[in-house]
Amino acid sequence: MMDVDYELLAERYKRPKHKKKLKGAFTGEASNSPCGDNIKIYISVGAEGKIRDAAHDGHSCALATVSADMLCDYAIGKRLGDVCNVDFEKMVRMLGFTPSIGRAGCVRVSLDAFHDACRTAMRTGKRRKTK
Amino acid sequence: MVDYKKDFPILERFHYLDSAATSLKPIQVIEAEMEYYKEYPANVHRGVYKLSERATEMFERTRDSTARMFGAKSREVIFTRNTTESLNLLAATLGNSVLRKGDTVLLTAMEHHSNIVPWLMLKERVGIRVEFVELEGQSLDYEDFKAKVGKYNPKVVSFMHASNVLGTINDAAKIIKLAKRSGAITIMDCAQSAPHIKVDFSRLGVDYIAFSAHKLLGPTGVGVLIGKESQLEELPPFMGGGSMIREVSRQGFKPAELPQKFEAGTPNIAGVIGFGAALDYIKKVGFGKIESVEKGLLAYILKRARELGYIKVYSSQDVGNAVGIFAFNVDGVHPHDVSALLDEANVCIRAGHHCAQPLHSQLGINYTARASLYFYNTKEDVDALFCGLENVKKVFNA
Repeated sequence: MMDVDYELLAERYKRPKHKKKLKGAFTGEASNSPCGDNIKIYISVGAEGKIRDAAHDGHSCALATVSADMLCDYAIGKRLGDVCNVDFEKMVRMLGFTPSIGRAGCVRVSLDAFHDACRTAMRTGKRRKTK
Repeated sequence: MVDYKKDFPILERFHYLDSAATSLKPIQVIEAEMEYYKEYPANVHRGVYKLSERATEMFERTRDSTARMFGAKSREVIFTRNTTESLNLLAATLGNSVLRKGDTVLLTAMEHHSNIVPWLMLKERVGIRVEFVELEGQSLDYEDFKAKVGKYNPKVVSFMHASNVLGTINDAAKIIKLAKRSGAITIMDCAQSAPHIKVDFSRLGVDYIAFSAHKLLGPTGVGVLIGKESQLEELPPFMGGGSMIREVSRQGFKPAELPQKFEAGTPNIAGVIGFGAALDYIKKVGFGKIESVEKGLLAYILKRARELGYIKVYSSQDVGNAVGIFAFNVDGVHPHDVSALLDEANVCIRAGHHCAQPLHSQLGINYTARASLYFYNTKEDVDALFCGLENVKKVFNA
């Protein structure tokens, strides 16, 4: 694994591709208690079960913001069931470096919010189907 | 100028600016702990053989040193795990004795979570009311203090002596005088003051003070609660078990005398002995020296910060009335990123809400970066901090 490239991280932090609110989307939220960060993930699912769009919002550091942005990139166009199990190791591969123990929480907060949004989408989706 | 680096070898490699989280430990403290484990690793207060008696003597020597440094009697000094446990001990035992539903505990808007949560737990358990004195700038609003003492007639006033975010040293004498108007029990959280300024327990007339050894050059896992003998006698025991009893039968028990009444179970013997060596070291340096080094460096930090347009300072700029804390944000950069980039240059600072979320909410922010000083820091550490901040600006184009 490479060292952290702060310049690349800073670049994407300043110009994230998916930092916005998605109206009517399924949402998930998580907080990183030691620093007070909070991330909200939005997932919009099409009729065929594919993720039409994904976005994130909140207040967070560069690592958490970029992680959330990459998760959105990863999810868009895939089936909900195929992305909801994305784990820390997968996230590390996407980032290209392993965060230090002190900053692992910055990655996990985005993952937790993403999983929360997936759970909401799955739960609500099932309910909708049974109606 | 004394070079402390020989006693804190880690300073050769790191610019350690996080002493408000925990101070470094001089080799004398590490050796004292090691000596206990190597030479007399027996339990205290129970053996009548040489090893145990030596352990007891050394353990009690620290209690005596603590009492002398803070102007208390030895039997008024209770060893706990940390400031948090000391404050929890008070909240729990006061909640089991004098505090009733509807009674008010008055805190301040500056408090650390350890002087908020134990009282909120008591609010849930007993139904007490928890009120807060507001801020005026980076200080307490003493008019609000006066008004709230009059309005709520608090049974307990618990406040931090120095803020771990703002650095402000509160006017303890004034607060204690105001609190006594309603006959309140007074508790002073000295976690951030005891390492930096002289705290005289008996002279202040406060009922209780709490602090942690690890911020005063000592090991982690040792805290101190000092209480007026008359008050401690009235409190019920906190935890039950060995050491804190005089006698036990199947039907009941009689608690031990002070201070053992509040020291259930085998304590952190090595830690307490190490803390004794830490107090010896602090005494040798002297609070006059500690204050002058820290104030000189804090003034230098603030001067450097003022020269930069992209730093917003949240901590007190009244150097004469503050401990060495510099809380700030770099425009457009999260403090975690500031801290991580500074770490690349071996500059250690803290980032986050510093266990003071209500204070950060009050300030209208979620987090700050914090550099904190101790007497072993130098101008070179501050220069390294600002060199690192210039790099943060460059990377993030702040």
